[in-house]
Amino acid sequence: MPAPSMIQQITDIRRDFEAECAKIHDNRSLEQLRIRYAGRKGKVAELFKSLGTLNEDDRKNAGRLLNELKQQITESLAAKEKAFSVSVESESILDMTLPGEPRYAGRLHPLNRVLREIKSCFHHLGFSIAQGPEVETEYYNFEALNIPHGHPARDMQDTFFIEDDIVLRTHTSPVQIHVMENQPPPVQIIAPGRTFRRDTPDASHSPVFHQVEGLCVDEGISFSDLKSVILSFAHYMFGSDVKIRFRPSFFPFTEPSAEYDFSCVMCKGRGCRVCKGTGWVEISGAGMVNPAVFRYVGYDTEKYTGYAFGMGVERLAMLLYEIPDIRLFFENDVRFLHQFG
Amino acid sequence: MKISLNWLRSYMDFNLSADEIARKLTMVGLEVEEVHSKPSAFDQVVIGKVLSVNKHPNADKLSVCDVDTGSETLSVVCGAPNVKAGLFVPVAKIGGRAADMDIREVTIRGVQSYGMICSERELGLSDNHQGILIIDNPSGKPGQLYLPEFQVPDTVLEINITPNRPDCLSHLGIARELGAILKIPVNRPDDTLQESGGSADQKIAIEIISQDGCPRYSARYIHDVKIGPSPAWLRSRLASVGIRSINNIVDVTNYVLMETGHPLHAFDYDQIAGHGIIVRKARKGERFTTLDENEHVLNEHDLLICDGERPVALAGIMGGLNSEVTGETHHILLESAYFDPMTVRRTAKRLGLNTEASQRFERGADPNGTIYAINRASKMMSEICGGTVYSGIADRVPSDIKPVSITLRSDRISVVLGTNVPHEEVLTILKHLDLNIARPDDPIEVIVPTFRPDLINEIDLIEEVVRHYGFDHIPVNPVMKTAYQKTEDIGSKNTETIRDIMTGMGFIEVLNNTLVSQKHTSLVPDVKPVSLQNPLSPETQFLRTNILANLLDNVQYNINRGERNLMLFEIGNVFHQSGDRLPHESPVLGLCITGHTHPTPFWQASGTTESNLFHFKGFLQNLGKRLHLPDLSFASGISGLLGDGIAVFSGQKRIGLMGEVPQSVLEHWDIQFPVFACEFELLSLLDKIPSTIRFAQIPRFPSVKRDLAVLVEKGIHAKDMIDLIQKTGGNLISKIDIFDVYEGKSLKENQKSVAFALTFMSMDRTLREEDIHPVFNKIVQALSDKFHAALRS
Repeated sequence: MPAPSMIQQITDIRRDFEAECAKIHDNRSLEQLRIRYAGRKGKVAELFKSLGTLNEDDRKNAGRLLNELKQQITESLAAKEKAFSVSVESESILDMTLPGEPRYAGRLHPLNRVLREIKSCFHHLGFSIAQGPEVETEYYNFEALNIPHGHPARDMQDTFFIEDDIVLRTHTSPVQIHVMENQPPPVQIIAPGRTFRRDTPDASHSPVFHQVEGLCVDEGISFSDLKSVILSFAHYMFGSDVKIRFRPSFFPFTEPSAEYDFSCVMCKGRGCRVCKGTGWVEISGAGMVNPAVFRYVGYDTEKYTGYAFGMGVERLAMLLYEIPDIRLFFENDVRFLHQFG
Repeated sequence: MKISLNWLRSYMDFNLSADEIARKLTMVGLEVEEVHSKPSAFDQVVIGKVLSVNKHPNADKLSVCDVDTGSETLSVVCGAPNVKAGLFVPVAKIGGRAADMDIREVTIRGVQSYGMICSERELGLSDNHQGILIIDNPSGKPGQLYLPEFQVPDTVLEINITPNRPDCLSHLGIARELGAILKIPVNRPDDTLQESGGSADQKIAIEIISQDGCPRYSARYIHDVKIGPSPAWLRSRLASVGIRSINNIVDVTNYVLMETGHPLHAFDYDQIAGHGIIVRKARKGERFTTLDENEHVLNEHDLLICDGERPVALAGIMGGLNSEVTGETHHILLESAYFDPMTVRRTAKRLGLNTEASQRFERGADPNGTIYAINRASKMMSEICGGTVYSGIADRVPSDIKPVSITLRSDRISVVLGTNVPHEEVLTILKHLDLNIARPDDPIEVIVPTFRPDLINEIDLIEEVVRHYGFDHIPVNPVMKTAYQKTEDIGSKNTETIRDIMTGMGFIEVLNNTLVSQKHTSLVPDVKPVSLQNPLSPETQFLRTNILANLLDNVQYNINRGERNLMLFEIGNVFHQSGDRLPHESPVLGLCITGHTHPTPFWQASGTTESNLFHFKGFLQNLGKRLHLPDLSFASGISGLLGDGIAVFSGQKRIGLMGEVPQSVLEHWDIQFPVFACEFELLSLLDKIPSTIRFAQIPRFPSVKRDLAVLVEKGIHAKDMIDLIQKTGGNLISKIDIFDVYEGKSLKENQKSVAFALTFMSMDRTLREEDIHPVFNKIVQALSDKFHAALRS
């Protein structure tokens, strides 16, 4: 290819580019223009490729011209682009307050959201997850937990019966028994799951609810360890300024038994409606595993000690999100569910 | 249990606020649920003298009285028949309180009334509303406050007593605990009494036939009592803990019950045939009417107190109508017994009788507490009811009831609590709880009195120690002991992954009640649902057999509230009868969609398309992809849950069912829009998820696309053609997409056109036309041979 032809081409391209560039009014066309002229396979690049066919003098000359052209095109494009971005701001062609393309947003149920937090906390503390059936024999739900037939403690939990000796589990504590029957100490598990009590539904009672039970058994496990686990949990869920309190109580499967409270997360312990002015909110029960339970599963009661604790997932969710009525969890109104997850 | 602080103060000296007492009791396990301060049942009630009584002009039974209240004479409308001029009466003035009402100026049948003349009931003193209270010996002049000595303000604590502590179901029991907290003594009221007349043993013969049911029966005879209303202080005490006054005898038994926790029963001695007591089991079908006038049909497990002829009480639960103390009663047979907890509990539960007595016996009364209680009550009966207490107690103790001895090692306390409790502290706590120390040195030997049936083992004593030592004194172990963490259950981990995938695709997670109605269970016709013996209602009679019905509830609920575009899922257990003892229980993943495929953006004028079966199937396929289930397949024509449903397979294993919910089902839920739903058996699904993922080489050579459109009969399934293409093309075919399916006028009636986009690729070279051409032809030939497919020009 003769050199003047090359120079002519450069001139033509410059003329064409200037003409086209003048007509550009939006970013998309500008981008197409850039590809056509300054792109990897654009007109300028094509000419660079054909430089190799020229003799050395022509090549030098054409190369210089080409570089000038390239620079000019690059500058023109940049200037144009800048002009566009300024004009958007100054003239408000784009109304960015208009909504983006709407999408259906999936949500996790608030109870599972909280349950994940709980699991995550105890996972960090070295607990494994254990599960058991929702329909239990009386033996696992009561007897092996030291709640013998005819014991008034059975009245503490109103029970749904399927047969005389088959029940809907009233707590996830039976999982303790299944686990201990199947493995020697050490044991360190949490058992999350669905539980049932024959309570008429109201703002704070639901016949269906969810519990997490914790159990740790080994040599030398003491109430002091229980306190440290509960404190870690309190801090994980509600922040490190939360205090814990243990009050003596009674559960047949633990002894000593306690109810544990957190300092009120709403009022920081000053006293409010949520804590009924006491500064404390009741969370759940805990205690040292009663040796009677160890005897049921064949553990050495002198060698091993352990602690167990429970918690209600609904209760914690209600505290975390300030939900006033437990029934909301099972109504499944999407206007409710959309607030969490 | 209601505990009056005034009552407690009669046993001990303490000077703490009610809130402080409540806090301290709560911190030893006696949870104070409420603190009621009782200022006085009434306010601004003054002594008034009735000056005149005139008939109400507009009402026969009412009168209009002029009452002198010192500074003024009030005109008061009164309905009592016993109002008379000259009487002194309590008058509640305007602005005061009585009968739980604020007293205001009112017009009664056209006559203004400027106050209220009060009955005993209106002053909260008793149930008596027969007429107004007449003040016999007024302590002051008209206008002075009517404030009997027992009407001082009180505070009543509502304490939640755990079932292991029957000893705390009394004021003396709570006083013992408070004494141990404050380390102050408790003064038990004196029970020494004057005995005279004959001996109890001559008046009462006791025979215990059922010794298991009744380990002890003690009785006294009180001669010639005068039945009447109790003195005001007694009525007021009982009222403060929520017990209505009946008559002086019954009130005394109730008072001693609330004081000592030991239930007593007073019989009308003259109604006891043969003047003998027989304790025996009932006969099957035997009938008995308790004093609440209900007749019960008994069985051979129920324990009866009988006289020579017939039952007179349901042991430990309630007395009989036939022998109760009435206004005609002259002599009393007073029972103070100890009944077997299980026996009382079984009967009380079966008959639905939950009484103050049964509550205590079924938790365990004190077998050695019968004597103090009977003496205390007899003493009060002689003082209040004028009776003569005959000497001695007719007391039958078939078997000796011995206290338990427990050894308590101090190092065991440290092991359990994780801290040392000073030895002296341990001893002090035990002593203040009235436990007897047989050996104070380590290991301590403790003799447990029979009022603490809950203390049997060493651990029980450790709990007693820590209750009063305080959990606050146990340090938080700074070095938490943790066990070796076993691999987390893969199933629950993958279940969480499924939740994430579902929410990521835009589904909202719901959680529904496990307990459902027959409408729900009948959706799965071929399994037997599990039914509850004692459901709360027919709507919650069964355990759910499927989650789909729950999801339809949610769809209906939300559509009715204006949300018509729904994508919902739930993971939960379903149940059905298995033939074994325990029902079959397994988790499922249920999901459903209804409404538009996408929300409508502003630049689109009309709504987006309605969901359809293939839109829904896309979600399931996407879920399969995310879970690495390469071989998810679908086969139609499976009847069941979803009418003509579509089975979802992974390999050969059926793992779920999907489809459009039939119109006939939607009608039951009043849903007007199409709903697409699916249920996966979660365990089958989880089972198919590969446990490991291995890297596969990413292709380095370009792929080549070829389109292929064929005409086939409508009945030919796309999946079968795809399988054939894959088989024929072998390794060279890396992907097969369907980009068009057409049926229509230009084709024959039973024909459809299916267009495939085939991607050819090789892992080791760039494919050339001569590589592809023969394979493409082979595919065309194979489709033609097997499905009579004709290449569409």
